[in-house]
Formats: sequence, C-alpha cells, structure tokens
Amino acid sequence: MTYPYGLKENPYPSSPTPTEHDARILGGTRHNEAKGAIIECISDLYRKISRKKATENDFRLITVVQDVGSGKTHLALHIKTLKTRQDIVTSYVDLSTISPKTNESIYGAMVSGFGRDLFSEMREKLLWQICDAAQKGDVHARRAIGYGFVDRLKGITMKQKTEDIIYDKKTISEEGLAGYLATNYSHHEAAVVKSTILRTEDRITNLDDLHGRLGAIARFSHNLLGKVILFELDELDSQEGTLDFVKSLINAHIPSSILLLITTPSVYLDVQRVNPSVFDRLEKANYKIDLAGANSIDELIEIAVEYIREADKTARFNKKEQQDLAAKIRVLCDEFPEFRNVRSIINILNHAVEKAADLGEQVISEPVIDETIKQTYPGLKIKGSIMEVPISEFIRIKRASGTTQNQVKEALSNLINYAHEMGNVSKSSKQNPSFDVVYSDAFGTKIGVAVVMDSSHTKNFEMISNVVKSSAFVDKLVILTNTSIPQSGQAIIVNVDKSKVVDLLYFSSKYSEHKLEEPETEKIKMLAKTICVI
Amino acid sequence: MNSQILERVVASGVCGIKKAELKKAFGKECDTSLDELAKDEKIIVDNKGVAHYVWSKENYVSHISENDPKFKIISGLVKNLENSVNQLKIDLASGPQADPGHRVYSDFKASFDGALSDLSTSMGWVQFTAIRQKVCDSLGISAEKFYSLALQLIESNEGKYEISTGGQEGIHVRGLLHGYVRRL
Repeated sequence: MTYPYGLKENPYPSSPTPTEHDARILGGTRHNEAKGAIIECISDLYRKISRKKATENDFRLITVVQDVGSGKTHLALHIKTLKTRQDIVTSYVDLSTISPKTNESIYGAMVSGFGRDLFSEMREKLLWQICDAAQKGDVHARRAIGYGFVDRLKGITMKQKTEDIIYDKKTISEEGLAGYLATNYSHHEAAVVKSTILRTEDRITNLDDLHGRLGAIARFSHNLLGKVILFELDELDSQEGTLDFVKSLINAHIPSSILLLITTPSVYLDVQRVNPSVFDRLEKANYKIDLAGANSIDELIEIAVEYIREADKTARFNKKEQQDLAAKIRVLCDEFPEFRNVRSIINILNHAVEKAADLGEQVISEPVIDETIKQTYPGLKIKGSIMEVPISEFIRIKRASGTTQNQVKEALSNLINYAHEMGNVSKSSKQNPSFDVVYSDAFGTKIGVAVVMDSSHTKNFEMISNVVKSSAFVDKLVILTNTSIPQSGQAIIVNVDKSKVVDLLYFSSKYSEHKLEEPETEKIKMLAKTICVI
Repeated sequence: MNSQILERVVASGVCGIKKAELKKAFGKECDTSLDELAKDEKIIVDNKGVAHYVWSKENYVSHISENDPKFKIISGLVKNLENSVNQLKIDLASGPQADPGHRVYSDFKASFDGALSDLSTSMGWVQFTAIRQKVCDSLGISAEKFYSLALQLIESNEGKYEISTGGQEGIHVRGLLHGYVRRL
C-alpha cells in the first residue's frame, strides 16, 4: 500500500496512549523546550557527580503538569528512548497500572521499568568486581566464582572462570556469593547484587527496604556505569497511599537520581487539599515543567508535521506540502475544539493517512479529511451551518477566504438571481451603484442590499454611513456586515458571522457550477431569510 | 455615449475638461448626454474663468476645495463633523450602552479575569467552581449564564486561556468536563 507523501508506512501512531516506539519522534516547540529542561537537569546533576561520590544532595525533583492528552507521557517515554545520551538510565512507571499500590508492587514496577539492559550491564560489572577481589586474595570471592586448586593446576584463570559465569556457561556459587556479599556490602546493596547476579526477583517488605534497594541501584549505576538514574512516575494520583510513597521517595534523597512526577492540573490541585505536605514539596521541585500551550494550534501543527518529516526518507514532503497540511489542520482545529489536543489530532491524522492510502491520494486532501471525519466522528457538523456544508468544502472555503467581501458580494448576487429564477423576487434590471443588488419582493417593495465586510471596521463605519445616505432610493435597505453596529432606523443591519459567510460561499459555488439540487431549495430559502434578503 | 463621456470627464481629473473640447470629440449631440449625466449628479458643469468646464462629482469637490476658500473652510468643518460622528459610532458600538449583550459580556470578562487572577495558584490553574461563585456573586448571574459566557469567552480567545479536565463542574469540550482554567 502506498501512503500519501510517498511514505512507506503510516507515521502517526494508532494507539490512544503512546508506546516507546511512538515516542521516538517529538515535535512542537513547547514539548522540545520541556525536553530541553529535563536534559539540562540531567546534565547538571551528571556534571556535579561525575568522578566523585554522590551524596544525598545529588537528588533532583521534576514535575510535569498538564491536561490529559497533551503529550506528557509521550515526553517521558521520549526521554527514556533517547539513545544519544549515555549518561542516563530511566525507569518509567505508569502508576495507574499498579494495584494495589503496595511498597512491593511499586518497587517491582520501578525495577522492571529499567528494562533488562541496566541489570545486564550491572551484572557484568559486578562479576568483574568479584573477579578483581578474587585476584586480590578474597577467599569469599574465589568461592563465589568457584575458583579452586584444580583450576589453578589446569591453568584456568580467574578471568576465564568469571567469563564463564558472565556468559552463563557456569553458575556462580550462591554460598560463596553470600559470604562475599556479607563482608563487602551493606544489607540493601547485597540484596541488589544478589538478585542482579542470580537474575532473581528481589522481594521487599517495607518502605525502608524500598528506599535502600533503590539507593543501592542508583549507587551501582553511578559508580559502575557512570549513569544518573531517572525515575519517571506517570499518572500520579492523589490517593493517600500514593502520596505517602511519593513523599517518602522525595525525603529519601536517593543520591545521583532524579524523580520525575507526571500528573494533571486537577490531581496537582487535589494534592494540595489531600496532602499539603506533599504539595509543598512538589511546589519546590527543581524543575516545574508546565507544557503551557501544549494544545495550541501552532504546537499541534508542528507535532503533526514532525511525524511526516521524520518518516519521509525521500524529502518529498516539502515546504509547500507542509504549509498546505498546516493550513488544513488550522481550519480543522479552529472550527472543532474536539481536535484541539495532541492525542486527538494524532488520532485523526492516523485515520486520515489510512484513508488517503485507501483512496490512492498523494496528500491528505480535503475530501480525505471529510471521509475520515465522516467515518471516525460521524456526528460532527459545522456549527451554525444552515446549508450543512461538508467539512471538506468548509476547509476549502475557509482557506480561500482572503477576499471575503468580494466573494460575499458575488454570493449575494447569485442568491438574488436564484430567488429571481425561483420566482420569489424580481431582480431589478437597473442596478444602483450604491448597493450591491436591488430587487423587488413579492409585495413590490424595492429592496437594496449592500455588503460591507472590509477587514477595517473604521472603513466599514464610513461605508455604512455612505450607503445609508442612499437609503431614499429604495423602500428597504439591508446592510450585510461583519462590523458590530447599532441598528439604524434607515437600514436593517445584518451581522454576517463566519458560518453565514461559509454558507453563502458554499451556495454560490454550487450555484455557479449548476450543482444545486432540489432538496437544497428549502435550506437556501432559510439562509436567505436569516440574512433578511427574502 | 454617456459612459464614454463620463470616462473622459473622470480621466480629466481635478482640472476638469472644457465643454467645448467634449463637443469637439463627441459632436454636438453630447449636450443631451451631458444633461443626463448632470441630472444623475455624475458630472458637474461650472465656469472656470470664462469657459464652461466639466468635472466628475468627486473631482469637482477636490477642485473647489482647492480654489474656493469658503468651500474649503466649510468642507473642513463637515469632514471634522463626519469624523466625530464616525468616532461616536465606534464608541457606541464598543461602549457599554451599545448592546446590552455586549455590556454583560464585557462585565463578565472583567469579573472573570479578576477572579482568575485573585484565585490563581502557582501554576495558574483555578477551579471553575471557585470562579463561578465569585463572579455570580458579584454580577448576580446564574450558574448556567456563567458557564455559557465562560465558554464564549474561552472559545473566542483561543490562545489566551487554557482549560483542563477534572473537577465537579465546568465546561464540556470533546465530551469531557473541563473544571479548571488558567490564563496563558
């Protein structure tokens, strides 16, 4: 299947929540600024503790607060997937997936949140440490790697024995390891080393265990791998248990680690009510990432464009096509608040790309958007539209509405011509230059209509004032305008809003192309009535 | 012929064109056309020196504004008057007396922004409930009116306000209850 813009696959994720794979792409100025702030925090901490022992002062707290669907999780996963920086290891935990939230379940989630790589690297380093100790004469270390008299006679080195364990050709002696750990490590460190080397699950029973283990992991990560630990806790809620846990984690000041808490404004403000002590701590976070304006139309456009740009290997998605897509998204978001959200716009674009591929379109065209919306949001209609303008036509009209005044004048003239053809009015053959159209209604009343829709309202006041001077030439004067002006005794002022303009232009284009159908007559009459021309 | 004569007259600009010249160009029959155009107030025929000249209406106004001091003064006064009237219209349209709906809206906006600023937290988010209580008390409007005006305010100021889901009451967007708001 060929996708639009020459793409080999649909660049937009279909999942309602991002996956690590989806999060490789990060678009939008605000999202990138937020990413910059997090990276700055990591780099600062890394610089501070590199080549020295980390202390409890080397702990940072970051909060990310924004509404649902604004891209917080995407940002967190993007940070986790950053491959360019080798100085960080991230554990991403979605707290909403943990139930019940016990110390043990949270610890389990945090450990598995690191993924396998961290512990594989750590295992290797720890085994080499044991090898070093064995070479220096540590009896427990020698026992752990199973190095004995026979090995020495056979000419097997300690390094070889260690390599065999690393590559799973042999197993470590658990008894020997226990002795080695008891003499060289604290209780928590020993537990982490044991579970890492033996690849077993480390069970904890209380909060002290949890902090101790996490502290040990951070310490090993820093000392052995030179990496800062980033704990990302997503979907932070305001339940008492969660907040107690978060408070303890902040208080624990795990050295060489960063705690990144992700939540929504409603939860954040709930925390203030439920647990002021935690709220106070969150308020004093080292970095408070706001993502303000994350759902602004400009940001949404940047994000949408970034997905295609990243997937476009042939550079076919040029500036013109980017601007074209941006303009369509802008109209869509302007009209439908439903789409003013990162998750929603990505969702609709995912469907639109599939639809474009089905229809064999090379770009996400107006008809593609129309079809997509019909299928995915069947109830969606243009607000206030009498003519029931299809969304594709709406986008086309809105994008081409540079010279609205002239277009509306032409549409008005077409509307009166149509009414004349239908026998509702009689269009005057002798037109007056002061008005855009003059006609007589069924009662013989001579009606003049003027369109005053300049972008400058001051100019409109002047023009209306001039038109009103000519009111004596007709029995009734109607002024269609976009300027808010009080009703006058000499003219009927009709305020033409956005939806009426679109309706008029839609009617006009169908009339000009002779595509009006019988059922539309009533709608056209209704439109004419709403602007007081019939 | 009328349109050709009118075109020629308009093209002659502020200086106007001698009637005799028009007769030369269009023949003696042009007198009837000139009368018709003068009747429709599309052209003005007046003396300049000893000759009869013809101007378009707009050009004639410019001509006498330059050459007749009395007209110049009166024209200046009329223009000032017209400007004042236009200004008044603008003031009226945007002022509190213009439209009761508009007045309610502008009072609401001021009150809403005031409450938002007073109740604002460190991140700027405020519960709609708190703003509603404050605004309804000060303006004496119902909760329904408050939310209808709040929705209007937020929709017409895209980029100035931000709303967020949650809370007990608020406005509905995308089928979700948005109970928090802040100014950007």
